[in-house]
Amino acid sequence: MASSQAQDALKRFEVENNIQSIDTDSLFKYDQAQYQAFLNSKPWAKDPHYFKYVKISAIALLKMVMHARSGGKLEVMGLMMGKVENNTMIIMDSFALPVEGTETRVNAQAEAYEYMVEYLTLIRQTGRLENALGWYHSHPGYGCWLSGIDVNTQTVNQQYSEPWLAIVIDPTRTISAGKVEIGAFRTYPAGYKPPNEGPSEYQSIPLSKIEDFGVHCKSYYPLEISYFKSKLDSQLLDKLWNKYWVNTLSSSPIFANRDYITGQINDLSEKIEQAELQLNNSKSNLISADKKKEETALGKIVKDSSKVTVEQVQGIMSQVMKNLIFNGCCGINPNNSTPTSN
Amino acid sequence: MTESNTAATATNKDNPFVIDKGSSTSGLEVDLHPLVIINISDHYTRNKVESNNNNPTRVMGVILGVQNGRNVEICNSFEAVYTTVDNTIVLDLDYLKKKQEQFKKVFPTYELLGLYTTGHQVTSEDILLHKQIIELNESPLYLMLDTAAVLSEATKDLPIVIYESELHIVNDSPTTLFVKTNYKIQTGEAERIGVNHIAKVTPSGSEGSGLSTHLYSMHNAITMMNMRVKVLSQYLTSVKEKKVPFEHAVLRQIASLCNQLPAINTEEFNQSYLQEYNDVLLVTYLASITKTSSLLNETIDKYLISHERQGKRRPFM
Repeated sequence: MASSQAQDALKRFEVENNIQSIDTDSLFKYDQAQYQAFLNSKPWAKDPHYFKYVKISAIALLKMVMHARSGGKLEVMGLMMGKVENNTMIIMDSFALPVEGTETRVNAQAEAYEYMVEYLTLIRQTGRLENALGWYHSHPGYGCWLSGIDVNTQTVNQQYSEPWLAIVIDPTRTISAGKVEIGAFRTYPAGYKPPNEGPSEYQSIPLSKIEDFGVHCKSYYPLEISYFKSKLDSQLLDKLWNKYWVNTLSSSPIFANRDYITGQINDLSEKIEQAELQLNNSKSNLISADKKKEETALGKIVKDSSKVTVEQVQGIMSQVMKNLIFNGCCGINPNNSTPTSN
Repeated sequence: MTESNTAATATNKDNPFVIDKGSSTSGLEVDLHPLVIINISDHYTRNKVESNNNNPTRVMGVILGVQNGRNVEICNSFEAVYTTVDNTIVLDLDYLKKKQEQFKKVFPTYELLGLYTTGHQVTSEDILLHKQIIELNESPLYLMLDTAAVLSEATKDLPIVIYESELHIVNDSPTTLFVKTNYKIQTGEAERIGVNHIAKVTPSGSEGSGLSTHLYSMHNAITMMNMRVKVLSQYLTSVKEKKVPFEHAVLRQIASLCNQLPAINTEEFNQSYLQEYNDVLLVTYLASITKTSSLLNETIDKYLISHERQGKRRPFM
C-alpha cells in the first residue's frame, strides 16, 4: 500500500516537473551519416545562438558529478562525448582527464590532449562512434559560470572543433543544496554583440570571483539542460531505491559541507562590509542615478543569505527528523526531545 | 537473502556452476556503487539499439574499484572488447590493460576487480570468461545483471548477483565454481544526489530551492523504513500466533535491532545537537536582520526621495 502511495507521489512529481518518460531508447542510436551531413551544413556558423538545448544522459551526469566531487577543492576536468540533433546537443557519455588544479592549471590542454586522443581511439574499438562534443570542469564552491580563462578555452575550441560545449559543475554547492548544480555554456564569437536580454538569472558568486564573472558574463550564453535515461535505467533506479533509502536517511548536508557553509557566511560578511563602504561614500549624492546599484548590492546580499539559510534549515530539518525517529521514539529520555520553539 | 543455512557446500540443484552457501560464511564484504549499475545499463541499452533488434544481446566489461583486505568497493566499470573464436568468447586482454592504465592516471587507487556481464544464469561460458580474467586479477569477482528480471514487475529486488570463484574437486577434476557474495549499495554524497537527480529528474537550473525535493526524498525514505518495520512486526505477530515457525537467528537479529534504539543518547550528543540547532537558528536570525535592514534602507531611500522633491519644489512654487 505504502509503495503504491510512493508511486503515486513519484508520478505526480514527474508530471509537475514536466518530465516525460518518453521512449528515449532511440536517443542512444548514433547515425554517422546524419551526423556528417549535419557537420557539413554548419548551421551554427550563421547563428551564434544556434544551440539552445542540452540533453544529458544519466550515466554522463553521474560520471561528471562524481568526478567533480572526487577532486575536492581542486578543479577537475573531463570531456564529453555525444551527438547533435538540430539545435540540441546530446551528451551520451563523459570521461575524466588526468588534469586537476587551480583556475590556471585546469587549462592544461596539451597534457590532456594526448590522453584524449588515446581514449577516443581505444573507445572506438568497443563500437562507440560518438565524437567528443565538449568539455566539463568543476568550480568547487563558487557557482556555475565561465571564468576569463574558460571563455578563452571555449572560444578557441568553438573555432576549431565545433560543435563544442562547455559544462560547469559545482560539486560543493551540489551537496549543500541537495541538487545537482550544473550549467552548460557556449561563447559568442569575438565581436558579436549579444541581444540585450534581461538580467541573467541571479546566482551567488564569492567576492573574490565577482570581478572575473562580471567582465566575461556577457561573452557567453547558457543552454537549457534536460536529462534522459533509458527504460532499463528507470527500472533499475526504481529497484535500486529498495536498497537505497538507507543512504538518503543517513546523509547530512550540514556535516558533509561544514567548510563551505562557513566560507559562505564569511563571504557574506565581507560583502556586507563592502556594501556599507559604498553606502558611506555615496552618502553625499544619495539620489544620483547609481543609487539603484546600491540597492541591488544589498538585495544580492539578502538573496545570498536567504539561500544559505534555506540550505541550513533544510539540513537541520533532516537532523531533527532523524533525532525524533531514532532517539525520541522510545521516550526513554524526555529531556531528549528537540527544542521546537524558535 | 533467502539462502538456506543448511546447505554447506552442496552445489545448487538448478545450476551446476554455482554453490549455495550460507550468507554468513563468506567473509568478503562488497560495496557496489550505483554508477556501475547505470554504466552497465547504459552499455546494454546502447548495444540493443545499435544492433537494431530487441533480442537481448550480451554485453560484458570489467569492474574497477578498491580492494582492502576482504573489503571490496566496486566504483567504476568499462566495456571490454572481445572476439568470438569457435563459439567461445575471447577477451582482448591487451585492450583491457591499456584501458586500465588510462583509468589509473585519473583514479590511481582503482584496481581491476573482475568482470561484469548481463545474463540470467551462470553457464559454462561464464566460467570460461572468468578464467580469462584471472590473468589480470588473481581472485576476480563476477557481477551479473539480469536485464530480463529488471523489466519484470515481479522481482522487487535489484537483480544483480556478484560471484566469487572457488576451486572445487568435482568428479575428480578441479573445477571453478561460483559462490554468491552479499553486497551493499554504497554511495558518496555527490553520487547520492546525482542518482536522486536522474531517478526523479529534478527541474534543471538553479531556480527555486531544493526544499520540496529534499523533504520529498526524506519522506520516501522514512516511508520505506516504515514498511520494513511493518514487515518485521507482522512477522513477529505471526510468530506469536504460532502461524509461522520461529527462527532463533531472525528473532535475535530483530532483538538486536530494537536494542540499538535510541541510537545515540549521550550528553555529548545532545550538547552538540543543540549547538548545531542553535547555529542554524543564528544563521536564520542573521539572514532576517539582513533582509530587514535592506528593506529599511529601501524605505529610507524612498522617503528621502519624496521629501527632497517636496523640499526642492517649494521654493520654486
